[in-house]
Amino acid sequence: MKLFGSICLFLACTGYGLIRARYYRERPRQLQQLRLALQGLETEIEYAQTPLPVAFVRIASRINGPVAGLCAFVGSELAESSRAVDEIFKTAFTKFDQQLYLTKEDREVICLLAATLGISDRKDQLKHLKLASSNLHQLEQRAAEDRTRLEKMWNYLGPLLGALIVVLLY
Amino acid sequence: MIGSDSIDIVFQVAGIGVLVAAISAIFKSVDKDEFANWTTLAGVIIILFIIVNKVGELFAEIRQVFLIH
Repeated sequence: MKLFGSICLFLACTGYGLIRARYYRERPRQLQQLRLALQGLETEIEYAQTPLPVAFVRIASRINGPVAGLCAFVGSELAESSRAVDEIFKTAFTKFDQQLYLTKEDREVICLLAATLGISDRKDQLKHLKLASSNLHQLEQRAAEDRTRLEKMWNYLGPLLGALIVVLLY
Repeated sequence: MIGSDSIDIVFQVAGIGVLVAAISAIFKSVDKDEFANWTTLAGVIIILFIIVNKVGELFAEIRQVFLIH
């Protein structure tokens, strides 16, 4: 019984460590996808002048992962409701909260951009898109740096903490 | 009077020592020195708590042996 409990505790701590490590592994990838999506949006606005709902759906089909789901949701919501773009993004972020490994800062960049989408002329929107893109790029680089250090740390720390607690309680 | 119980404590303390050392080494390798120090300190305190009980027992026994009440 004692052994069974110890094994459960150890596995739980290991799992927790792996989950934390996955956060650091997924965040740079999702930031990159987000940046690709913004680039796609840039082309859609600059060359095709696609309406926003259609543009978002098109982008969603081009990328993959949870970000694609986010874009598809935003596209369909834009087509159906008459709410502001940044509000829709906020609901989208809360809806996909479980799948997105993005920090508050990352979401803030997107929400700031969304507030300017669809309410001004093409040039202004493109400027904002470029700004958000470069912001995301910076965040991505920082996230990649964090990944190399913290992903490994949590991978090891989880099992070790589990073993420590087991030894303490045994 | 060394029973299997007291040997267990030696192993427990040794285990905690090894694991705390490993954890603090990991923290140090990712440039989180303050966490490393905290872990070491926490390990020392935990082990101290375990040992204080036993030291107390030892003193009680010494008192008993020399009949100081």
